[in-house]
Amino acid sequence: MSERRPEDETLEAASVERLRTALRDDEAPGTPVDADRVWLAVTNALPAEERREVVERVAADPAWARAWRLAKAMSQAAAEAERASTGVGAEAPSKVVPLAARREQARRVWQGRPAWAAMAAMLVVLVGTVVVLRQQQAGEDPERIRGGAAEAITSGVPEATALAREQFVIRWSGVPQAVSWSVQVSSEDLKLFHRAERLETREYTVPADVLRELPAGARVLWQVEARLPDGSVQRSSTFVNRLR
Amino acid sequence: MELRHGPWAGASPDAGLETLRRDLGRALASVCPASLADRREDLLQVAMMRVVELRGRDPGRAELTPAYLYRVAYTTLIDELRRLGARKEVALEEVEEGPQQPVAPGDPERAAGASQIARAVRDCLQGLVQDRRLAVTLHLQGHTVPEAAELLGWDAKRTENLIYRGLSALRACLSLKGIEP
Repeated sequence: MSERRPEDETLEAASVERLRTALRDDEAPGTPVDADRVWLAVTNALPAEERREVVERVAADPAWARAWRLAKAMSQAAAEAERASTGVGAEAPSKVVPLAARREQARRVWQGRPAWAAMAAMLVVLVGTVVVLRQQQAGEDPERIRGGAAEAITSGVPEATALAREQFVIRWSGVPQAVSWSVQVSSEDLKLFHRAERLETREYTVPADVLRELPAGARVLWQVEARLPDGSVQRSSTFVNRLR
Repeated sequence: MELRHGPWAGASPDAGLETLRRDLGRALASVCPASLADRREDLLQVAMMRVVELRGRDPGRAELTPAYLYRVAYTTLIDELRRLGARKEVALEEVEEGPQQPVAPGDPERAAGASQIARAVRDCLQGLVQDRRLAVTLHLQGHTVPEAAELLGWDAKRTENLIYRGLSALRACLSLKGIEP
């Protein structure tokens, strides 16, 4: 089991995505491509040793990398067209799952095991009860959970407010020296997890499609991170608003 | 072309061509640099013409499967991209010789930034040990762990570890070059 936190993995997924975009937008010409060899490698029609040789070229040469991406996209589309034309392989095509999501899936495997699920649920209820009781004893707002040390960031959305799915705008204040902000949004069961990076304003509109799966009335948890000039990060409490 | 059912079949073989055209368009959109956005339609047209020409040459052939036609479209596109690249190089030489309107549209700053990052990524990849380099390369090409493992002929766990360690080393190298991905 990894010691990595989900936000690390989301961050990693975001930075990998930025690198992929840069590679895609790269206009460097590269060297002439052996298009057939790339196609054969992508479709596993070459021996493993030769496939690795082609991947070496892809690592070093932008034209080969472009050809690889094109071969990948076209061979996958061809396989789907083939399935549609023959009716063979009625099962759903393999889904491209990002690395972070794959780890997340692995974490959820236990959910299919009733005994573990029941024990885990009991533990969550127990911990939740203790947290709420302690917060109430301390006179804190029970709607504000976790990350209590960083009180400098405050929500600008009253917690009783239910926000519309199409206009789920969250605002916050504090930490004037922050150079950028990150926001993470989740549902209570963490099935929904969304993160936005490098925001420059103290406001964020959660995309409606992120909230699509949540029913009306669901509690949406959100937390803000301020990136400070020295590179350190200050986290807010977790704020809660309901979905209208 | 003999097709039984699905979008490639039905009353008209043109339905299959429509599917191919759509898939080509998507592939181009996801693969081509932004600067080639206004050339996508041309590229698409050239590839489709090549497929139609091939079909017309021997209309009775049943073995013109989607896999074959998609591959033809792919190789045509690679040829066209190469041609475009060569033309652009010539155009750049002409620009160096004298003032002229740029031939490649798009956002030059974005393209320059992307090229700088991409060059740094390639440099850093070359500094990784080979197995990590191969695994990370496929990850950056959008492959899942099982796909990368299968392509490289390794087991999934090992491939996953190579990707994680490789990405970590890649990030460190990029940081040294002043790039924070």
